[in-house]
Amino acid sequence: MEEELPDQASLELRFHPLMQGSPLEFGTTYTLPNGETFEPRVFKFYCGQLSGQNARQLKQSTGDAYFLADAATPATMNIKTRIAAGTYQSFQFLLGVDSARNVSGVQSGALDPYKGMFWTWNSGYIFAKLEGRSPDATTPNNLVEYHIGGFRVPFNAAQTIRLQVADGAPLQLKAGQTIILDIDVELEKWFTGNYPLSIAANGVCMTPGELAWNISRNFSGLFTVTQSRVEE
Amino acid sequence: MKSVYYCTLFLLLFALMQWGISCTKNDDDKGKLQSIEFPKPAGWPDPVYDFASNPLTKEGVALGKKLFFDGRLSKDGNFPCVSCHQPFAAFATYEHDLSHGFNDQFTTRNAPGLFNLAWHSNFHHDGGITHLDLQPLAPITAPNEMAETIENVLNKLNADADYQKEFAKVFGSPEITTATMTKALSQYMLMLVSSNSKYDQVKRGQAQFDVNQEAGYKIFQEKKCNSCHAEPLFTNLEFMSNGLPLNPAFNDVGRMRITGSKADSLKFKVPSLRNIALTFPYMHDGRFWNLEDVYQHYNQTIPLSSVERSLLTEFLKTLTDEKMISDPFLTQ
Repeated sequence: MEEELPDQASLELRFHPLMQGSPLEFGTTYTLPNGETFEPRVFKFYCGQLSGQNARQLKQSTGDAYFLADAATPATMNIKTRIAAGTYQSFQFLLGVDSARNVSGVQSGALDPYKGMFWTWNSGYIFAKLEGRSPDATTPNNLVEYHIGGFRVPFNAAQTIRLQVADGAPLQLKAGQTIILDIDVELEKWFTGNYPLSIAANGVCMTPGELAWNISRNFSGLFTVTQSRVEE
Repeated sequence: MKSVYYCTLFLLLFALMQWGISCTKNDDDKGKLQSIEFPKPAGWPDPVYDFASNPLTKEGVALGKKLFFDGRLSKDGNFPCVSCHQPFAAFATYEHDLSHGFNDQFTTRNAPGLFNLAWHSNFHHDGGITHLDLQPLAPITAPNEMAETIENVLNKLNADADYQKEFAKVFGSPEITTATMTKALSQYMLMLVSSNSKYDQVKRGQAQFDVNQEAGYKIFQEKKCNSCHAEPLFTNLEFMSNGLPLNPAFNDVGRMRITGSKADSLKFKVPSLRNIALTFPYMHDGRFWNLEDVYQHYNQTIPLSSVERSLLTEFLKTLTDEKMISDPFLTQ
């Protein structure tokens, strides 16, 4: 156990996956902005290297380096770690896994390869998974499978996600307190943004490379902080 | 006075050593281990494997060997690592272009011999695997090979009290994890060092080539085979295209499959020529049955007369390491 430092506070990210403004339900068919339909069944992503912007300094969190958020297990969508006390106007996390951890052997904890977020034949982590079905998919059984990852340049799909505190006013976090960010994760934005994604054209992405990287460029649009507060 | 000084110094050192020992993790579970120094042959380059992260011990190597020979790492119990990596074939699959996996399936590539792995920083013919510890996860989970999940393998191993005892001894915790299982396997595979062929003995001044072997070695050097098959590993560990056309049965583009770069199309990792007499058929898909086929393929770029071919073959046979393939500590 790490020692509790005197100036330590806590940071909690509460991810709320949504589709069309309502809490995501697996097994429900949704209409995407481009008119295609999609029934999601799996949504997971790595959230790592949390840090906060404190004045001009970036403060790294001191808890676990990586967490695996899985929409099927709501408890994993609340991520709690420790961070130095101070005044924060924004936070950030890596949606993905840094390249060093992709090449330095077998990792443990959230990054243990048995969790199924690892390509064994082409060493590297799957940073985010979105799976389901769609009548628009041209695949067998209409499967839609997006396994997004890849650490190799130029198609490194790990994306830094910035989280501005709600209202933009910096929050003061004292030792022992917890700052809680409620974050909407609008899953339809997986398909919109920098790279408009069509299920009919690209219903499957299972390897690192240009397509995975392009899809990852949409990720920053998924996350919006709706509320931020400090609790004792 | 002086003796008091030394006495104090000794006690201090002793106390420090005790402190060092008690600081190692889970020292209660960890038994007394016999450490092994990696047998790096004299004059060879430094290995790239990080031994500090996985210190070799006699017990760790033995545990890795047990795993390597254990069918429970596969879905139906029939496909231990050793089923495709046979000791008598220098840990390739003897006389097989492709190997057999779960449910009567073929692999899509020729199983390479396993030796001198401590010098490799990537694995597979396309180099897709970035660390030796990660390598076993690929065949374990490939549906046409061992066809199992990592989770199931760990469950099967953890249900075995003997394994738990051995893992506790080697790694300090009875719980078998992905990391400890693969570290044990690496310890075993790292010890497969091939450096005792006749060629090596000649290099060490312990033996002499006969005239044919000597002439073959000269051809090997003059025809610049060693520009790719560089001594002492007999590979430069790089990805090269040797002009083989795409095999339409697999459409295997090699290194490009990993990098996505067209410049890497049909490039495969240069295989070592060590133990080449045991590792036929040749090439990444085993398309050439014997050396004659290989010489024929290279006839465009490196033409050899039939006499030169025979002499070169005599030299290549001196690269067989009988000692490694029959070492009881590694093979039984």
